[in-house]
Amino acid sequence: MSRVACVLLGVAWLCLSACSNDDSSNATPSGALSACMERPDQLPRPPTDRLPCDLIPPGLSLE
Amino acid sequence: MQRPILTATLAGLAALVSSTAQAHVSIASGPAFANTSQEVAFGVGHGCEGADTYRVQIDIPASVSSVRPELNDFGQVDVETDAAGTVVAVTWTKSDARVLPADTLYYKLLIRLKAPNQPFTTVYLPAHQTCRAADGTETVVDWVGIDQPAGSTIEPAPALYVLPPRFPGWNRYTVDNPVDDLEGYFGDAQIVWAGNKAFSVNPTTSELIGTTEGASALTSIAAGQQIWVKY
Repeated sequence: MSRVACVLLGVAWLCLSACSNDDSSNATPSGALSACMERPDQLPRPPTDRLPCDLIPPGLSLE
Repeated sequence: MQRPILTATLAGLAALVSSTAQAHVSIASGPAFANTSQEVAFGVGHGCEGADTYRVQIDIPASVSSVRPELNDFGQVDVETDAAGTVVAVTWTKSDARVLPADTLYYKLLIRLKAPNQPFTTVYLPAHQTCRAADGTETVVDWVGIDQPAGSTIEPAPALYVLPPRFPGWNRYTVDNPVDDLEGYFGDAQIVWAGNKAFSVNPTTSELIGTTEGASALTSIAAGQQIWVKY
């Protein structure tokens, strides 16, 4: 019986280990998962005083 | 209690101003693509001084081909052709029973047509709007003005802006004709560049063009100039 329990514990540990391989891209600094809107400091910010690069056409360099 | 009344009054004024601003037969489907068959919609914003629109005739210029009007609920559709069989006019006419006692509806009339292979040009399709009042009096308004100066009493003809085919993202074109009406041609573009000059109808982007070092405002495009347009 104890051997069966050990096998089950081992399987459970392997599952937890696999789940913990998440890259935590959805995690906050505290480790909790949250929606993107809950992390406004990690979102791209609107431009402030100059055009963003995606509105500059290919080959044009503004000096 | 006064706020709802004021709100209702302002809403009424806004509706009045809005109906006045849309007081014409105009293109309601945006720009067309050169050498491409597509649906073009004509919006009839209102009738004539309170009278319902009874008939609308659209004149087809020679540069437009493959004209096929679409049936709709407005009324009967007729096409007029020349000796060669080319469609020169399309007319929608209501049955007498369907003429409304007042000007209460907006109408959209559709034609499938092929725009000329002339990007960055404007095709004018003169329109003739006939209204019928409750007492049977008919009024005809001709929307035929082309490049009229400000203040002209001639009503403007529906103007179809013709653009080259496009793809999402950056598009590079060489403009064959000078373009002054940037808002008309590029009203749905994110940004347009000619050299280091840029234009956008988006007020935030337009402001950024002015504050970006090395960039300046684009106000017109000369013939032969290469441009980048992002959609």
